[in-house]
Amino acid sequence: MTSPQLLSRLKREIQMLEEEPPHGIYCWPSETNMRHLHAQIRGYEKTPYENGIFKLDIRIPDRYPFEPPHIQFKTPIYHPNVDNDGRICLDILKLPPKGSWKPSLNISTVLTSISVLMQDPNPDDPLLTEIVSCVY
Amino acid sequence: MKDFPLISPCDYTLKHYVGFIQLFINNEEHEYPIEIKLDDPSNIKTATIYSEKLSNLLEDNKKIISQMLQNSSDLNTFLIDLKDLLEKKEILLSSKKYPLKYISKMIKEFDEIGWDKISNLKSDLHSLTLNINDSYNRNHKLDLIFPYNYNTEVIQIKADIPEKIDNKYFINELSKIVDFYKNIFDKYNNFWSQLEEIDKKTWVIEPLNPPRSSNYRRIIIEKKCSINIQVNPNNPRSFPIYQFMGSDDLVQKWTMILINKQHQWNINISIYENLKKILNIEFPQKEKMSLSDISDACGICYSHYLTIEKDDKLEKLLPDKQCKNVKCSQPYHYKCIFEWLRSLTTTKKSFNYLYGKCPYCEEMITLPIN
Repeated sequence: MTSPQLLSRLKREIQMLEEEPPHGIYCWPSETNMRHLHAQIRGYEKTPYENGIFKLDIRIPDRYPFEPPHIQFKTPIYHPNVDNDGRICLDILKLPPKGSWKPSLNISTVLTSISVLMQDPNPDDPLLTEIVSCVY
Repeated sequence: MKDFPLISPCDYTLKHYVGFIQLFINNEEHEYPIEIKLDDPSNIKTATIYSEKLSNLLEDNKKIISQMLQNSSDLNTFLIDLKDLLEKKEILLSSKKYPLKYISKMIKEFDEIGWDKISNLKSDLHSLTLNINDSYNRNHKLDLIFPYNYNTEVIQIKADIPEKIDNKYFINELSKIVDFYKNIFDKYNNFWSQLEEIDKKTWVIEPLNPPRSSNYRRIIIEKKCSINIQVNPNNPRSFPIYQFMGSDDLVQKWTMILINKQHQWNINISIYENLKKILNIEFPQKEKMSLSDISDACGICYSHYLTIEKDDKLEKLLPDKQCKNVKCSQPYHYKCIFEWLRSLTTTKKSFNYLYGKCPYCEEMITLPIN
Protein backbone atom coordinates (compact mmCIF):
# COMPACT_ATOMS: atom_id res chain seq x y z
CA MET A 1 0.00 0.00 0.00
CA THR A 2 1.41 3.32 -0.98
CA SER A 3 0.72 6.26 1.29
CA PRO A 4 -2.00 8.65 0.00
CA GLN A 5 0.55 11.43 0.24
CA LEU A 6 2.99 9.79 -2.18
CA LEU A 7 1.44 10.61 -5.56
CA SER A 8 0.60 14.26 -5.00
CA ARG A 9 3.95 14.90 -3.42
CA LEU A 10 5.95 13.10 -6.11
CA LYS A 11 4.15 14.94 -8.93
CA ARG A 12 4.92 18.27 -7.27
CA GLU A 13 8.55 17.30 -6.71
CA ILE A 14 9.05 16.22 -10.31
CA GLN A 15 7.58 19.51 -11.44
CA MET A 16 9.92 21.40 -9.10
CA LEU A 17 12.95 19.43 -10.31
CA GLU A 18 12.01 20.39 -13.86
CA GLU A 19 11.32 24.06 -13.19
CA GLU A 20 14.08 24.90 -10.70
CA PRO A 21 16.71 22.16 -10.67
CA PRO A 22 19.45 22.43 -8.03
CA HIS A 23 22.86 23.62 -9.21
CA GLY A 24 24.81 21.04 -11.19
CA ILE A 25 22.09 18.42 -10.82
CA TYR A 26 19.70 16.99 -13.36
CA CYS A 27 16.91 14.63 -12.30
CA TRP A 28 14.01 13.09 -14.21
CA PRO A 29 11.54 10.22 -13.81
CA SER A 30 11.88 7.07 -15.90
CA GLU A 31 9.36 6.79 -18.70
CA THR A 32 7.48 3.81 -17.38
CA ASN A 33 7.57 4.31 -13.63
CA MET A 34 7.17 7.59 -11.80
CA ARG A 35 8.65 6.05 -8.67
CA HIS A 36 11.95 5.30 -10.38
CA LEU A 37 13.99 8.40 -11.10
CA HIS A 38 17.36 8.98 -12.71
CA ALA A 39 19.75 11.71 -11.68
CA GLN A 40 23.04 13.10 -12.84
CA ILE A 41 25.42 15.11 -10.68
CA ARG A 42 28.19 17.09 -12.32
CA GLY A 43 31.53 16.84 -10.51
CA TYR A 44 32.52 20.18 -9.03
CA GLU A 45 35.51 22.16 -10.20
CA LYS A 46 38.77 21.72 -8.28
CA THR A 47 37.70 18.32 -7.01
CA PRO A 48 38.89 14.95 -8.34
CA TYR A 49 35.43 14.57 -9.88
CA GLU A 50 35.70 17.68 -12.08
CA ASN A 51 34.23 17.21 -15.58
CA GLY A 52 32.68 13.91 -14.57
CA ILE A 53 29.00 13.11 -14.86
CA PHE A 54 27.85 10.78 -12.07
CA LYS A 55 24.66 8.85 -12.62
CA LEU A 56 22.39 7.91 -9.75
CA ASP A 57 19.35 5.72 -9.38
CA ILE A 58 16.49 6.85 -7.15
CA ARG A 59 13.73 4.53 -5.94
CA ILE A 60 10.76 5.96 -4.07
CA PRO A 61 9.53 3.62 -1.31
CA ASP A 62 5.83 2.94 -0.62
CA ARG A 63 5.82 5.04 2.53
CA TYR A 64 7.53 8.07 1.02
CA PRO A 65 7.69 10.88 2.25
CA PHE A 66 7.62 9.17 5.67
CA GLU A 67 10.62 7.12 4.57
CA PRO A 68 13.69 8.42 2.74
CA PRO A 69 14.20 7.69 -0.98
CA HIS A 70 16.67 4.88 -1.85
CA ILE A 71 19.58 6.41 -3.76
CA GLN A 72 22.56 4.62 -5.29
CA PHE A 73 25.43 5.68 -7.51
CA LYS A 74 25.32 3.93 -10.89
CA THR A 75 28.65 5.37 -11.97
CA PRO A 76 31.58 3.85 -10.02
CA ILE A 77 33.00 6.54 -7.76
CA TYR A 78 36.09 6.52 -5.58
CA HIS A 79 34.80 8.11 -2.39
CA PRO A 80 35.15 7.13 1.29
CA ASN A 81 31.40 7.33 1.92
CA VAL A 82 30.29 5.31 -1.11
CA ASP A 83 30.82 1.53 -1.33
CA ASN A 84 31.56 -0.58 -4.39
CA ASP A 85 27.87 -1.14 -5.10
CA GLY A 86 27.21 2.60 -5.11
CA ARG A 87 25.51 2.70 -1.70
CA ILE A 88 25.89 6.03 0.02
CA CYS A 89 26.55 6.55 3.71
CA LEU A 90 24.69 9.71 4.52
CA ASP A 91 22.64 10.31 7.66
CA ILE A 92 19.70 11.96 5.89
CA LEU A 93 19.20 8.79 3.82
CA LYS A 94 18.29 6.84 6.95
CA LEU A 95 15.27 7.05 9.22
CA PRO A 96 15.63 8.34 12.79
CA PRO A 97 16.91 7.39 15.33
CA LYS A 98 19.91 6.10 13.27
CA GLY A 99 19.61 8.73 10.60
CA SER A 100 18.00 12.12 10.25
CA TRP A 101 15.53 11.82 7.36
CA LYS A 102 12.45 13.97 7.77
CA PRO A 103 9.61 14.81 5.37
CA SER A 104 10.72 18.42 5.11
CA LEU A 105 13.61 17.10 3.01
CA ASN A 106 12.96 16.09 -0.59
CA ILE A 107 14.68 14.59 -3.62
CA SER A 108 16.16 17.93 -4.58
CA THR A 109 17.70 18.67 -1.16
CA VAL A 110 18.96 15.11 -0.80
CA LEU A 111 20.71 15.28 -4.19
CA THR A 112 22.24 18.60 -3.19
CA SER A 113 23.55 16.99 0.01
CA ILE A 114 25.09 14.18 -2.02
CA SER A 115 26.76 16.72 -4.29
CA VAL A 116 28.11 18.52 -1.19
CA LEU A 117 29.32 15.17 0.17
CA MET A 118 31.28 14.68 -3.06
CA GLN A 119 33.07 17.99 -2.49
CA ASP A 120 33.50 17.39 1.21
CA PRO A 121 33.93 13.72 2.11
CA ASN A 122 33.13 12.76 5.67
CA PRO A 123 36.10 10.73 6.98
CA ASP A 124 34.51 10.27 10.43
CA ASP A 125 31.82 8.01 9.03
CA PRO A 126 33.53 6.06 6.27
CA LEU A 127 32.01 3.24 4.28
CA LEU A 128 35.39 2.32 2.75
CA THR A 129 38.55 3.22 4.60
CA GLU A 130 40.36 0.29 3.04
CA ILE A 131 37.18 -1.52 2.07
CA VAL A 132 35.76 -1.61 5.57
CA SER A 133 32.02 -1.50 5.42
CA CYS A 134 30.17 0.56 7.95
CA VAL A 135 27.64 -1.25 10.08
CA TYR A 136 24.15 0.00 9.47
CA MET B 1 -24.09 -42.39 -12.59
CA LYS B 2 -25.00 -43.46 -9.07
CA ASP B 3 -26.78 -40.36 -7.71
CA PHE B 4 -27.55 -38.84 -11.10
CA PRO B 5 -29.41 -41.40 -13.19
CA LEU B 6 -30.26 -38.75 -15.80
CA ILE B 7 -26.60 -38.10 -16.66
CA SER B 8 -24.79 -40.67 -18.75
CA PRO B 9 -21.60 -40.90 -20.84
CA CYS B 10 -21.86 -40.42 -24.61
CA ASP B 11 -19.37 -43.13 -25.57
CA TYR B 12 -16.86 -45.62 -24.19
CA THR B 13 -14.03 -43.02 -23.89
CA LEU B 14 -15.93 -41.50 -20.89
CA LYS B 15 -14.80 -38.02 -22.00
CA HIS B 16 -18.23 -36.61 -22.63
CA TYR B 17 -21.37 -36.75 -20.43
CA VAL B 18 -24.82 -35.38 -21.23
CA GLY B 19 -28.11 -35.38 -19.35
CA PHE B 20 -30.16 -33.47 -16.85
CA ILE B 21 -29.39 -32.17 -13.36
CA GLN B 22 -32.35 -32.01 -10.95
CA LEU B 23 -32.60 -29.05 -8.61
CA PHE B 24 -35.15 -28.70 -5.80
CA ILE B 25 -36.15 -25.07 -5.55
CA ASN B 26 -38.96 -23.97 -3.22
CA ASN B 27 -40.23 -27.55 -3.03
CA GLU B 28 -40.45 -27.88 -6.78
CA GLU B 29 -38.29 -30.13 -8.89
CA HIS B 30 -36.63 -28.55 -11.92
CA GLU B 31 -34.55 -30.34 -14.53
CA TYR B 32 -31.81 -28.50 -16.34
CA PRO B 33 -29.88 -29.90 -19.33
CA ILE B 34 -26.18 -30.18 -18.58
CA GLU B 35 -23.08 -31.28 -20.45
CA ILE B 36 -19.71 -32.24 -18.97
CA LYS B 37 -16.49 -32.60 -20.94
CA LEU B 38 -13.32 -34.13 -19.59
CA ASP B 39 -9.91 -33.81 -21.23
CA ASP B 40 -8.67 -36.73 -19.19
CA PRO B 41 -11.41 -39.16 -18.05
CA SER B 42 -9.40 -40.29 -15.01
CA ASN B 43 -8.80 -36.74 -13.82
CA ILE B 44 -11.85 -34.79 -12.63
CA LYS B 45 -9.81 -31.54 -12.49
CA THR B 46 -9.84 -31.33 -16.29
CA ALA B 47 -13.65 -31.13 -16.48
CA THR B 48 -15.62 -28.26 -18.00
CA ILE B 49 -19.35 -27.77 -17.41
CA TYR B 50 -21.86 -26.45 -19.94
CA SER B 51 -25.49 -25.60 -19.44
CA GLU B 52 -27.35 -22.97 -21.40
CA LYS B 53 -30.12 -22.54 -18.86
CA LEU B 54 -27.72 -22.31 -15.92
CA SER B 55 -25.05 -20.31 -17.75
CA ASN B 56 -25.55 -17.16 -15.63
CA LEU B 57 -25.28 -19.09 -12.39
CA LEU B 58 -22.23 -21.01 -13.60
CA GLU B 59 -20.55 -17.82 -14.74
CA ASP B 60 -21.25 -15.99 -11.44
CA ASN B 61 -19.82 -18.83 -9.38
CA LYS B 62 -16.93 -19.73 -11.67
CA LYS B 63 -14.35 -19.44 -8.90
CA ILE B 64 -16.18 -21.65 -6.42
CA ILE B 65 -16.88 -24.26 -9.08
CA SER B 66 -13.27 -24.48 -10.18
CA GLN B 67 -12.28 -24.82 -6.51
CA MET B 68 -14.82 -27.61 -6.09
CA LEU B 69 -13.33 -29.37 -9.12
CA GLN B 70 -9.88 -29.19 -7.53
CA ASN B 71 -11.14 -30.72 -4.30
CA SER B 72 -13.39 -33.49 -5.66
CA SER B 73 -12.19 -37.04 -6.02
CA ASP B 74 -14.65 -38.16 -8.71
CA LEU B 75 -17.44 -36.86 -10.91
CA ASN B 76 -20.24 -38.11 -8.65
CA THR B 77 -19.10 -36.24 -5.52
CA PHE B 78 -18.48 -33.15 -7.60
CA LEU B 79 -22.02 -33.21 -8.99
CA ILE B 80 -23.46 -33.56 -5.47
CA ASP B 81 -21.54 -30.45 -4.41
CA LEU B 82 -22.54 -28.61 -7.57
CA LYS B 83 -26.21 -29.44 -7.12
CA ASP B 84 -26.06 -28.19 -3.55
CA LEU B 85 -24.44 -24.92 -4.60
CA LEU B 86 -26.81 -24.26 -7.52
CA GLU B 87 -29.88 -24.90 -5.38
CA LYS B 88 -28.73 -22.44 -2.72
CA LYS B 89 -27.89 -19.75 -5.26
CA GLU B 90 -31.08 -20.22 -7.25
CA ILE B 91 -33.23 -19.86 -4.09
CA LEU B 92 -31.33 -16.69 -3.19
CA LEU B 93 -31.94 -15.31 -6.68
CA SER B 94 -35.62 -16.12 -6.74
CA SER B 95 -36.08 -14.26 -3.43
CA LYS B 96 -34.70 -11.15 -5.13
CA LYS B 97 -37.43 -10.98 -7.74
CA TYR B 98 -40.61 -9.00 -7.41
CA PRO B 99 -43.90 -10.75 -8.15
CA LEU B 100 -45.83 -9.56 -11.20
CA LYS B 101 -48.53 -7.93 -9.05
CA TYR B 102 -46.02 -5.66 -7.38
CA ILE B 103 -44.37 -4.72 -10.65
CA SER B 104 -47.67 -3.73 -12.28
CA LYS B 105 -48.53 -1.64 -9.20
CA MET B 106 -45.20 0.13 -9.47
CA ILE B 107 -45.64 0.83 -13.18
CA LYS B 108 -49.08 2.29 -12.47
CA GLU B 109 -47.47 4.59 -9.93
CA PHE B 110 -44.81 5.64 -12.43
CA ASP B 111 -47.60 6.60 -14.83
CA GLU B 112 -49.25 8.63 -12.10
CA ILE B 113 -46.23 10.77 -11.19
CA GLY B 114 -45.00 11.00 -14.79
CA TRP B 115 -42.14 9.13 -16.41
CA ASP B 116 -40.21 12.35 -17.01
CA LYS B 117 -39.45 12.44 -13.27
CA ILE B 118 -37.80 9.02 -13.35
CA SER B 119 -34.19 8.33 -14.21
CA ASN B 120 -31.56 5.69 -13.44
CA LEU B 121 -34.23 3.03 -13.30
CA LYS B 122 -32.58 -0.37 -12.81
CA SER B 123 -33.85 -3.11 -15.12
CA ASP B 124 -34.78 -5.25 -12.10
CA LEU B 125 -36.83 -2.31 -10.69
CA HIS B 126 -34.71 -2.35 -7.56
CA SER B 127 -33.74 1.31 -7.53
CA LEU B 128 -34.39 4.59 -9.31
CA THR B 129 -33.82 8.33 -9.05
CA LEU B 130 -36.68 10.83 -8.93
CA ASN B 131 -36.12 14.34 -10.32
CA ILE B 132 -38.26 16.83 -8.46
CA ASN B 133 -38.48 20.57 -9.08
CA ASP B 134 -39.32 22.73 -6.08
CA SER B 135 -41.32 25.96 -6.31
CA TYR B 136 -38.13 27.99 -6.72
CA ASN B 137 -36.83 26.22 -9.82
CA ARG B 138 -34.25 24.12 -8.06
CA ASN B 139 -33.91 20.58 -9.29
CA HIS B 140 -33.61 17.90 -6.61
CA LYS B 141 -32.77 14.26 -6.84
CA LEU B 142 -34.26 11.54 -4.66
CA ASP B 143 -32.64 8.12 -4.68
CA LEU B 144 -35.13 5.34 -4.00
CA ILE B 145 -34.37 1.71 -3.23
CA PHE B 146 -37.29 -0.70 -3.25
CA PRO B 147 -37.11 -3.50 -0.67
CA TYR B 148 -37.35 -7.11 -1.77
CA ASN B 149 -39.57 -7.79 1.24
CA TYR B 150 -42.05 -5.19 0.06
CA ASN B 151 -44.72 -6.38 2.52
CA THR B 152 -42.72 -5.71 5.66
CA GLU B 153 -40.14 -3.11 4.66
CA VAL B 154 -40.46 0.46 3.47
CA ILE B 155 -38.84 2.16 0.49
CA GLN B 156 -35.41 3.55 1.35
CA ILE B 157 -35.12 7.21 0.36
CA LYS B 158 -31.94 9.21 0.10
CA ALA B 159 -32.41 12.96 -0.25
CA ASP B 160 -29.81 15.72 -0.37
CA ILE B 161 -31.25 17.85 2.45
CA PRO B 162 -29.80 19.20 5.72
CA GLU B 163 -31.94 16.99 7.98
CA LYS B 164 -32.55 13.29 8.42
CA ILE B 165 -36.04 12.06 7.66
CA ASP B 166 -37.33 8.79 8.96
CA ASN B 167 -39.33 6.89 6.39
CA LYS B 168 -40.92 4.70 9.07
CA TYR B 169 -44.44 6.13 8.83
CA PHE B 170 -44.59 6.27 5.08
CA ILE B 171 -46.98 4.47 2.87
CA ASN B 172 -45.06 3.03 -0.05
CA GLU B 173 -46.69 5.23 -2.62
CA LEU B 174 -44.63 7.30 -5.01
CA SER B 175 -47.02 10.23 -5.46
CA LYS B 176 -47.17 10.76 -1.70
CA ILE B 177 -43.38 10.66 -1.48
CA VAL B 178 -43.12 13.28 -4.23
CA ASP B 179 -45.57 15.61 -2.48
CA PHE B 180 -43.95 15.15 0.90
CA TYR B 181 -40.48 15.97 -0.35
CA LYS B 182 -41.68 18.90 -2.44
CA ASN B 183 -42.85 20.50 0.80
CA ILE B 184 -39.52 19.84 2.48
CA PHE B 185 -37.55 21.28 -0.44
CA ASP B 186 -39.68 24.43 -0.32
CA LYS B 187 -39.11 24.72 3.40
CA TYR B 188 -35.34 25.05 2.91
CA ASN B 189 -35.55 27.65 0.13
CA ASN B 190 -34.32 30.44 2.39
CA PHE B 191 -31.43 28.35 3.69
CA TRP B 192 -30.28 27.41 0.19
CA SER B 193 -30.56 30.92 -1.20
CA GLN B 194 -28.32 32.17 1.65
CA LEU B 195 -25.65 29.60 0.80
CA GLU B 196 -26.05 30.12 -2.95
CA GLU B 197 -25.27 33.80 -2.48
CA ILE B 198 -22.14 32.93 -0.51
CA ASP B 199 -21.08 30.39 -3.14
CA LYS B 200 -21.53 32.97 -5.87
CA LYS B 201 -19.98 36.04 -4.27
CA THR B 202 -17.14 34.62 -2.17
CA TRP B 203 -14.38 32.13 -2.57
CA VAL B 204 -15.38 28.92 -0.83
CA ILE B 205 -12.47 26.51 -0.32
CA GLU B 206 -14.38 23.90 1.64
CA PRO B 207 -16.46 21.95 0.76
CA LEU B 208 -15.64 21.86 -2.96
CA ASN B 209 -18.87 21.40 -4.95
CA PRO B 210 -20.98 21.41 -1.79
CA PRO B 211 -24.03 19.13 -1.74
CA ARG B 212 -27.37 20.69 -0.76
CA SER B 213 -27.22 18.88 2.58
CA SER B 214 -24.05 20.68 3.63
CA ASN B 215 -24.63 23.60 6.01
CA TYR B 216 -21.09 24.94 6.39
CA ARG B 217 -18.78 26.99 4.19
CA ARG B 218 -15.13 27.88 4.60
CA ILE B 219 -14.59 31.27 3.00
CA ILE B 220 -11.37 33.11 2.27
CA ILE B 221 -11.15 36.48 4.06
CA GLU B 222 -7.65 37.52 3.22
CA LYS B 223 -4.24 35.98 2.67
CA LYS B 224 -3.63 33.08 5.05
CA CYS B 225 -6.95 33.49 6.83
CA SER B 226 -10.38 31.99 6.30
CA ILE B 227 -13.64 31.78 8.22
CA ASN B 228 -15.72 28.65 8.63
CA ILE B 229 -19.41 29.37 9.13
CA GLN B 230 -22.09 26.90 10.01
CA VAL B 231 -25.61 27.99 9.05
CA ASN B 232 -28.66 26.86 10.95
CA PRO B 233 -30.98 25.32 8.30
CA ASN B 234 -34.12 26.17 10.29
CA ASN B 235 -33.12 29.76 10.96
CA PRO B 236 -30.66 30.61 8.20
CA ARG B 237 -30.35 34.34 8.78
CA SER B 238 -29.42 34.05 12.44
CA PHE B 239 -25.87 34.58 13.61
CA PRO B 240 -23.96 31.50 12.40
CA ILE B 241 -21.54 29.37 14.37
CA TYR B 242 -18.13 30.53 13.17
CA GLN B 243 -14.46 29.70 13.46
CA PHE B 244 -11.51 31.54 11.99
CA MET B 245 -8.66 29.51 10.57
CA GLY B 246 -5.14 30.54 9.62
CA SER B 247 -2.12 32.06 11.33
CA ASP B 248 -2.60 32.84 15.02
CA ASP B 249 -2.31 36.64 14.95
CA LEU B 250 -4.81 37.00 12.09
CA VAL B 251 -7.26 34.62 13.75
CA GLN B 252 -7.06 36.68 16.93
CA LYS B 253 -7.56 39.96 15.06
CA TRP B 254 -10.67 38.78 13.18
CA THR B 255 -12.19 37.02 16.19
CA MET B 256 -11.94 40.25 18.20
CA ILE B 257 -13.62 42.23 15.42
CA LEU B 258 -16.48 39.76 15.14
CA ILE B 259 -17.03 39.51 18.90
CA ASN B 260 -17.10 43.29 19.33
CA LYS B 261 -19.53 43.83 16.48
CA GLN B 262 -21.71 40.78 16.97
CA HIS B 263 -24.63 42.95 18.21
CA GLN B 264 -24.76 44.61 14.78
CA TRP B 265 -25.93 41.38 13.16
CA ASN B 266 -29.14 42.17 11.30
CA ILE B 267 -31.47 39.25 10.57
CA ASN B 268 -33.27 41.21 7.86
CA ILE B 269 -30.32 41.06 5.51
CA SER B 270 -28.44 38.03 4.22
CA ILE B 271 -25.48 36.33 5.84
CA TYR B 272 -23.22 37.55 3.07
CA GLU B 273 -24.28 41.18 3.53
CA ASN B 274 -23.94 40.89 7.30
CA LEU B 275 -20.43 39.46 7.15
CA LYS B 276 -19.38 42.03 4.60
CA LYS B 277 -20.67 44.87 6.76
CA ILE B 278 -19.36 43.63 10.11
CA LEU B 279 -15.92 42.53 8.94
CA ASN B 280 -15.82 45.61 6.68
CA ILE B 281 -14.15 43.80 3.77
CA GLU B 282 -14.60 42.91 0.13
CA PHE B 283 -14.43 39.13 -0.10
CA PRO B 284 -11.64 37.99 -2.44
CA GLN B 285 -12.87 36.29 -5.60
CA LYS B 286 -11.43 33.08 -6.89
CA GLU B 287 -10.41 34.43 -10.29
CA LYS B 288 -8.15 37.13 -8.86
CA MET B 289 -6.04 34.99 -6.55
CA SER B 290 -4.69 31.48 -6.60
CA LEU B 291 -4.74 29.07 -3.71
CA SER B 292 -0.98 29.39 -3.09
CA ASP B 293 -1.43 33.14 -2.44
CA ILE B 294 -3.87 32.35 0.31
CA SER B 295 -2.16 29.58 2.18
CA ASP B 296 0.88 27.36 1.89
CA ALA B 297 0.50 23.75 0.93
CA CYS B 298 1.00 20.99 3.49
CA GLY B 299 4.69 20.56 4.30
CA ILE B 300 4.50 16.80 3.97
CA CYS B 301 2.36 15.96 0.95
CA TYR B 302 3.11 19.29 -0.81
CA SER B 303 -0.52 19.81 -1.77
CA HIS B 304 -3.47 21.87 -0.60
CA TYR B 305 -6.06 19.15 -0.87
CA LEU B 306 -5.38 15.70 0.52
CA THR B 307 -7.78 13.15 -0.92
CA ILE B 308 -8.90 10.51 1.53
CA GLU B 309 -11.54 7.85 1.46
CA LYS B 310 -14.26 8.16 4.07
CA ASP B 311 -17.41 6.02 4.10
CA ASP B 312 -16.73 4.96 0.49
CA LYS B 313 -16.62 8.59 -0.61
CA LEU B 314 -13.61 10.61 -1.65
CA GLU B 315 -13.10 13.66 0.47
CA LYS B 316 -10.70 16.53 -0.06
CA LEU B 317 -9.18 18.03 3.06
CA LEU B 318 -7.29 21.27 3.49
CA PRO B 319 -4.35 21.59 5.92
CA ASP B 320 -5.87 21.89 9.39
CA LYS B 321 -2.78 21.92 11.61
CA GLN B 322 -0.13 24.58 11.84
CA CYS B 323 3.26 24.85 13.58
CA LYS B 324 2.84 27.17 16.57
CA ASN B 325 6.21 28.80 15.95
CA VAL B 326 5.24 32.19 14.42
CA LYS B 327 8.38 32.31 12.27
CA CYS B 328 7.64 28.86 10.84
CA SER B 329 3.83 28.48 10.94
CA GLN B 330 4.12 25.62 8.46
CA PRO B 331 0.69 24.14 7.71
CA TYR B 332 0.10 20.39 7.71
CA HIS B 333 -2.79 18.05 7.15
CA TYR B 334 -3.54 16.39 10.46
CA LYS B 335 -3.24 13.00 8.72
CA CYS B 336 0.21 13.80 7.31
CA ILE B 337 1.85 15.16 10.46
CA PHE B 338 0.21 12.45 12.58
CA GLU B 339 1.57 9.71 10.31
CA TRP B 340 5.09 11.18 10.56
CA LEU B 341 5.13 11.71 14.35
CA ARG B 342 3.59 8.29 14.93
CA SER B 343 6.38 6.55 13.01
CA LEU B 344 9.15 8.20 15.06
CA THR B 345 10.58 6.52 18.14
CA THR B 346 11.48 9.92 19.58
CA THR B 347 7.84 11.07 19.70
CA LYS B 348 6.44 11.04 23.21
CA LYS B 349 2.91 9.97 23.94
CA SER B 350 0.97 11.08 26.97
CA PHE B 351 -2.73 10.48 27.50
CA ASN B 352 -4.37 11.34 24.20
CA TYR B 353 -1.59 13.53 22.83
CA LEU B 354 1.54 13.08 20.75
CA TYR B 355 4.52 15.33 21.46
CA GLY B 356 7.01 15.63 18.62
CA LYS B 357 9.03 18.09 16.60
CA CYS B 358 7.99 20.11 13.56
CA PRO B 359 9.98 18.63 10.62
CA TYR B 360 10.79 22.15 9.44
CA CYS B 361 11.77 24.17 12.52
CA GLU B 362 12.22 21.44 15.17
CA GLU B 363 9.85 23.32 17.46
CA MET B 364 7.53 21.24 19.67
CA ILE B 365 4.22 20.15 18.11
CA THR B 366 1.37 18.69 20.14
CA LEU B 367 -1.20 16.60 18.36
CA PRO B 368 -4.40 15.09 19.77
CA ILE B 369 -4.91 11.40 18.91
CA ASN B 370 -8.26 10.90 17.24
